[in-house]
Amino acid sequence: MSNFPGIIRSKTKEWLNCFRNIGILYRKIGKSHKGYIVASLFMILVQAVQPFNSILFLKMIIEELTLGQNWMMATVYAVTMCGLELVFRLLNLSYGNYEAKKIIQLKTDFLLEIEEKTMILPYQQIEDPRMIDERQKAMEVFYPRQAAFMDIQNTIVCFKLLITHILQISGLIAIMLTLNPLIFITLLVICFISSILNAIASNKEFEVWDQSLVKIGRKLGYFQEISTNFTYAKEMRINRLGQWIVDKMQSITKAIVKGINKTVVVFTVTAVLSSILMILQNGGMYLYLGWLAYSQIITIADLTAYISSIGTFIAALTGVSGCLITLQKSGLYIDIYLRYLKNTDFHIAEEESPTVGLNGLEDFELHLENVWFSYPDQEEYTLKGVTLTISNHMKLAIVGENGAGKTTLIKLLLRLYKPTKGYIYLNGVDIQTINFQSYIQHIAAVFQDFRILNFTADENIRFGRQGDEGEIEEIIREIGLTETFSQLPAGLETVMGRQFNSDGTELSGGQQQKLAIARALYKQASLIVLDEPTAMLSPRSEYEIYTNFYTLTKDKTTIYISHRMSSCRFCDQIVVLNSGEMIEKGSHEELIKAKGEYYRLYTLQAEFYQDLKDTETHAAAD
Amino acid sequence: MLSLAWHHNRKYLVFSALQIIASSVSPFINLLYMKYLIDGIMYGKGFDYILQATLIMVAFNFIFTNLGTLANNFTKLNAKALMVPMSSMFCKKAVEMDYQFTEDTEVLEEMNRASFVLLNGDNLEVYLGAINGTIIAFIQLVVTIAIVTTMNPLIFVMVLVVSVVNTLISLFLQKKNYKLHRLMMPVERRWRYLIELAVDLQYGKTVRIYDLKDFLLGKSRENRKEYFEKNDEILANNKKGQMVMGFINVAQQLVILMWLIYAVLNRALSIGNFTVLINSAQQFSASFSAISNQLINLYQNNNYINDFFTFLQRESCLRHSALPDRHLKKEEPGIIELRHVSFHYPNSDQMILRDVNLTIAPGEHITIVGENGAGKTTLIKLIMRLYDVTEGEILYDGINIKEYDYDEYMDIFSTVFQDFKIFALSIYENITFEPDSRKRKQEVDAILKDSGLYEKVQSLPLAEETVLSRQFDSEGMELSGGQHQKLVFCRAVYKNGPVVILDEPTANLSPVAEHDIYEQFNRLVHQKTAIYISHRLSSSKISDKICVLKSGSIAEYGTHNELMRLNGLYAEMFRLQSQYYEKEAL
Repeated sequence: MSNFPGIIRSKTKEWLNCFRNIGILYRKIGKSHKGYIVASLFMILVQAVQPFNSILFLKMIIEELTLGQNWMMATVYAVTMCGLELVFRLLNLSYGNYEAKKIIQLKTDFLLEIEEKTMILPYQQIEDPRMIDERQKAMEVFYPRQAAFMDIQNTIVCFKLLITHILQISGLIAIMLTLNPLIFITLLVICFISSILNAIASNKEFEVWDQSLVKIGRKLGYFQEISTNFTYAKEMRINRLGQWIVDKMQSITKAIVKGINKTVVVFTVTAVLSSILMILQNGGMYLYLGWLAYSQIITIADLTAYISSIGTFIAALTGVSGCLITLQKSGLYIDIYLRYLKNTDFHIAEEESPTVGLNGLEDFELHLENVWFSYPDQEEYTLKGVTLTISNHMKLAIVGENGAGKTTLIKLLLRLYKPTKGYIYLNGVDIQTINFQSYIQHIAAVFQDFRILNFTADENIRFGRQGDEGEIEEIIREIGLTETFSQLPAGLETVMGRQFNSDGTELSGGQQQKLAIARALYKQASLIVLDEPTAMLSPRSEYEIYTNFYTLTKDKTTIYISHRMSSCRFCDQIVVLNSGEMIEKGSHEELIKAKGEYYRLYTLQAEFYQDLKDTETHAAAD
Repeated sequence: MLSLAWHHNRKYLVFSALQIIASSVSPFINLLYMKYLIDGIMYGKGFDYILQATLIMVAFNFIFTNLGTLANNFTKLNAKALMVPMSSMFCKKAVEMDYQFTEDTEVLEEMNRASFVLLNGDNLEVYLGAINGTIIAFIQLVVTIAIVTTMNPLIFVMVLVVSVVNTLISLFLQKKNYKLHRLMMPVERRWRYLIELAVDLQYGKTVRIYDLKDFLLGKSRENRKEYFEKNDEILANNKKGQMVMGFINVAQQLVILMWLIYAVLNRALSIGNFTVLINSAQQFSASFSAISNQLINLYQNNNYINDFFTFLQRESCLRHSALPDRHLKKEEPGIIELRHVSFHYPNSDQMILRDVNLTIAPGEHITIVGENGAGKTTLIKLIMRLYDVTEGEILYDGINIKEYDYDEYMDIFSTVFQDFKIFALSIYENITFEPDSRKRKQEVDAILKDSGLYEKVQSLPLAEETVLSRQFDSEGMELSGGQHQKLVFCRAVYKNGPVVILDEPTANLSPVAEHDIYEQFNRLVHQKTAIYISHRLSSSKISDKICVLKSGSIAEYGTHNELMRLNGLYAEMFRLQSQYYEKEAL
């Protein structure tokens, strides 16, 4: 209370901001759905007027019954009132139906927009946890997972209700001005105080549901996810995590629930205070009106009309305060949504900047010049001063310890990240100046954490692009998957995964890896990047891949990251990374002769096979 | 449902009862007051009478309105609180149900429907609110009818007829719509997946490298089209039904009004009673709409609540075959025998394993090799009883594994899988699954030291309390792939089960790390039974026996030397892989 004017100022600013955002939202809606805006305005008027229908007509009917005694007039009034009531209801129904459809459409459109813009964002941005958080909150507006009250439907309905109630209040004020102004002012003042109390209570209530429960909701959501997601199924069972989850969920929520109990008491008490005021005021009003009617200053008909009006007035006022609270809260999320849109728009502008197309590329030479790189929120450099030329058609292998920077280097070549210092050139052009889509067209990659998506095998390779049948079959054959798919009734049209289709299939780890490689091959890129491409393959499959690969990628530039030194044997050049620095470079023979790091890694692995072979020879000798 | 509330949260029922009482009575206070007020004035009962009536009204409102507020708030709180025990029961069931169901589309659908009331925040609350709301509206209806009947039985009859007709229409509508809604759920589930593909980090690389934007947007639009079609139908049904009900209600209002006008003018009905009856009719309409709307929520969610309970009660074949007195010793490994084991997945005829016969002696280390898809992982899953065999039997220590208590049997396995998972929990908890990190700190520290992770863990600000994910904790950390693998090793070491299963444990490791891990292996599998699946035949070095699977049957079995002499499949595999490491090259 000490900073009351400050609180008012900040609250007002919040509300102004909120309404500005709603305005922007409506303008956005209006761009593609003008008819909806017009219909909404019309319905606001209809709904504002609706309560006055019964207030006025009942008054007139009662007047007829008590004074005029003319049953025909009374009947006319009754019929008119019911007729209008019917019209209002039908209008509301039709509009409600129309609006429900529209809102789902809107939500879909806006959600697709977020999707589209997110997919264009540079990878570096989408890894940023703040961005992820913002995006999740922005999506709550259209696809509430945690906080249903953030749903844009609530916002739209509340906003219209707000205007409706304000119109109603104006009408009702006009009616009540006919009473003693003093009484009327008392009414207003008490209503106002009661509203503020109510608002404070609602605000507190909202905070409780919003903050504490949404937090719990997210955690509960995580536990639900790991319980139901089949990729966790083995771990959950092996580690007997059934009861553990129950205990975990309970302990997380217990602490939070205790705190909530107290807050609920607080806002309940506030709400009770507010309603006590209103009840007393009501009593007073009825008494006053009763006295007026008793003293025959007003008619019975007037009495009923005033009582209905007061009832509607209070309902409208409560409605206004409730709507304002909801709008303030959802306004925050709309704020985040609009901000997210703005952030992603910025990047699109960047894409549109001067570009260099690369059609019909014959040569593909990459050159890294003194490239340094550190991840956004880390101080240490993951790559330190790497200078390297990957010439046309070269087969390059990158080896090194886990965490040495191999995958990072690849991510830079793929423009998932930008070098912190230094440059990367393609055929002499800085790759950052090239249009991303045309650049990536020429590169295909299979990462360690590749994903087979829940679509058909064909779609997983081609993603709907046109091509000729023969091409795919050829690649499938070369990769060694022909038998696998000939055993499936739907062949390449089989859906990969059983989550959504009972006739889908879950391929084994190795088969999935082959499919991912097929995907890369189909793309017909000038550069193929493979990160541990045969980790899950049997020796024979691995051998087949390497053999066929060599032929398949003859006229392409290829980069392998592999811990299997075997794959280095047929590479033109091998690069060894250690803590971000390139410490060795050369062919297999050269590096073996040099007896450096490569030699050490190679012999470590070879040792196992040598030892086994030695035991063989010894056994044979026995 | 109510018995669930009784068990987990009695307060909910108490506050619900209060809420029902308060809300049922509230509208009638003012209703009846109006009658006394108006009649009092019309029949000149004196101002005292009016004052008295007003005071009584205020008192009643005071009690019931505030009771209502209190009850509403605490009912809401406790309703939300019910979500926790329900969620945990659901999760526990999802985790403990037979493994085969995790790949069964039908069960996944059932699980999805069961979770409908738990996800999306408000569904449970809405459902519970609908139950209370229906009871309240029903009591209001009964009271209204009572009031109306004492004044005019004829109206009662008409009102009753209208109620029944409206109820029937409402129920018919809901039944129709539920069927549609059920069809929409899988579409919605797929929509969630498509959104995830587009925005989730784990798909980010694939989306960008293969330029999947247009493809995914196309799929999304297709999905939405299907959804809209069904949704439009539901909306149209609702609209038709509600229009009919609207007509009926307004017609009823008009008839009542006309009758009342007649009654006042000719039958000496007092104006007070007139207002009461008018308001009662309106209250009736309102209560009826309330019931209608609540029924929508009730019906829809009730079906999902049913699905929830059905899902919870789903029978587990795996867990019910246990016999008493079958105990496993966990300190030493027992002998594992597979006798004439054949297997095909529940929804397919394709035999994955055919007549497999294998004996693994206690403490033996065996490597299983074979082509991709030969059945290696399936064999492991059978030994671990994630599935039951289709034919044949698996024995542990001479007893069929079906006879052991399921959870106890799981306890004997320490595993490192290819697709292991790191949880969004602290490092300590990821190893021990115990929240209190003081309990076995020494043990865990020793294990971390052995694996080479100790220094890294200590270098973090929160050490082993560091949460391994940024999802809930901005101070969370993501370790590298290799470090994750070491962590999972620690988990297996900590569990200390007598049978160790390792599925491609070094696939992602550098030669040095691989070398280190093999050292750890020895510590891990010392005096335990170990089963490896690996394509890296270097693991043969640490195995006593090798088993080669081909098309679901054991093709070769023996030591490395025996199989090399046999010059069969294994020998070929070994030569293929080791050829790159020829001595000549060195």
